[in-house]
Amino acid sequence: MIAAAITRVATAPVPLLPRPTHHFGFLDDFAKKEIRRAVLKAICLPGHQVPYSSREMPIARGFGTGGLQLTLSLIGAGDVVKVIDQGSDESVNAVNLRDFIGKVAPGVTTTTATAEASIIQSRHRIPELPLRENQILILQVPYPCPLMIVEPSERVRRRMHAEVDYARLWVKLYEDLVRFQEISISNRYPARVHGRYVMDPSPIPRWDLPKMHQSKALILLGAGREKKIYAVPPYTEVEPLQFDDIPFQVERFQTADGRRIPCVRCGANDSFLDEIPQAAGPAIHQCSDLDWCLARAAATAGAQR
Amino acid sequence: MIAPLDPGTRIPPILELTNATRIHGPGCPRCLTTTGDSHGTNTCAACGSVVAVAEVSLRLHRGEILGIMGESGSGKSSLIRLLHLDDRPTAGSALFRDHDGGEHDLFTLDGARARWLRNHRFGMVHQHPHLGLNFRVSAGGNIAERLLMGGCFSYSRIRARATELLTQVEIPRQRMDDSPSGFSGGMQQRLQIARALAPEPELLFLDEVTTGLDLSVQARILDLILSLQGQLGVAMIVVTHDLGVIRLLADRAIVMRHGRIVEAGITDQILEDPQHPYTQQLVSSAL
Repeated sequence: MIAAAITRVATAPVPLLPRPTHHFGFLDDFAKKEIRRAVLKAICLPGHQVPYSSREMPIARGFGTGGLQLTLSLIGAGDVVKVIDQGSDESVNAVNLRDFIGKVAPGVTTTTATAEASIIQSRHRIPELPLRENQILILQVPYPCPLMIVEPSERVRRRMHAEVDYARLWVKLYEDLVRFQEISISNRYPARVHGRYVMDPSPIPRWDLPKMHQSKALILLGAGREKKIYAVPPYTEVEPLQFDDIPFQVERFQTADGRRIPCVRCGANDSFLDEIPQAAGPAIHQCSDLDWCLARAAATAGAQR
Repeated sequence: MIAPLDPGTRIPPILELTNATRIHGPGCPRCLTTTGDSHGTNTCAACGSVVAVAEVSLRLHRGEILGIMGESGSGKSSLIRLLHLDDRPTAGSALFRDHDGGEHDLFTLDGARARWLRNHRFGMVHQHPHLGLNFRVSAGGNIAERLLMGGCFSYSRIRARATELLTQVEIPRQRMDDSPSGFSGGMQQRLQIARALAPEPELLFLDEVTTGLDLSVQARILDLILSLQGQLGVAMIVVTHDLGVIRLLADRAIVMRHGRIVEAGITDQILEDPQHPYTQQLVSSAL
């Protein structure tokens, strides 16, 4: 429109600028503004789910639209974006999202290296490398409410959050201990943020939950289908729900005789492992965080050379 | 057992309800004047609102059992719902004094405070176990839920307390991890009582707890309530239309009709010398 107006008043013909096919970062400015507002509110109320009008994205709901909208509303020229899917930079979902972000946000570079990234969008994992203050971690969330497993009605759940009524969630933990002698929640382990709201930390394994506690990086969680944004601000308390006399435990990755299984690729014995079944023979274990594993394997190989 | 009687005692009552009114519907200035015992209805002639509870005042002392009698629709359960903070009154005030000396103005509490009071100071036993129990978790889980609401987060302490409570209400401890759906009606009712008593409440509401149970089970439940009351000294409000329950449990009783209290006094006095025609009819038809 501006270009058209200029051509009308200009005496000499001005070459038309190529019309952009989309806004910077795909989302229009109103959408970005609304999401940023929701983010600010979420940071002010750690762990509280802030509703927002999740936009239609060129990927299906459930494939990370919540995380993608957060990323796209926060990036600017100079940002370096990394996208992880279950620890991998190479899965179809991670590659597609990364390419899409690179395409719709000129000036933004993409990376697979955790250390180089300023914004890390992730599904199901938090990188093993400790994050820094100048990084933002964005987690894709399928089910934002930890109370969903005990209460189907959203209206009732909101009241339960408002009144700090989490007893039924605790009963779920109690029943697990009665039936299985341990808590059966492998991922999405409910955690209390800043001593107030209990949140669903997205489907990260228990292994990653302690990384949220006093995290140096801002952690934002976005649920596209469920239209909720919530946050763990930097240096915030995140404590898993646990009984006073039964401590929270992370995955152990031990053999039957109690030895820690090392990663087959880099030899690490202090990372979260993926179990990969083999056609013949026993399953092998390797680091789920690909960038971290490759960097380690390269360092080990370099030292040997 | 000698319970402190209403007038003339020095110890302040645990609960003081003053002029509680609950009107369902738009309400109008004539609601209270066109309903009640003298009009034989609780529906307002002018606006059609239902006057569930009208200007009810009562006092309850620590360790006392108050019986509420009345026909169905007389406002007994509505009154209990107001006191248990499940519903808000249209008018009136209620003061609850806990053992720490805390005074709670019940009808002005916000949701979180009302929940805190319900979890820490009150207990409720419903007529139907499915209202008071969670059938998706075990019997122990039902007790655990109450303890967790009250802020006890030690697994071993929860287990120990659940065992203790189940023993008190005569449920075998090996049934602790079973679902209450497999329990008999009497056991479910006893589990409800155990659940209600878990956080050691100061005020227990019993809403038609023996209705629908066979006579021998009724007798055992009533015995259990009396013995627990003797041990724990908890104040109780017992809602029933069964005069036998009132006679056995209650120190004092009130009779309600059309949302009003039509008679109040010492239980024996009411049952032996009823003054109000409705109470006379009630007593003569039952005895």
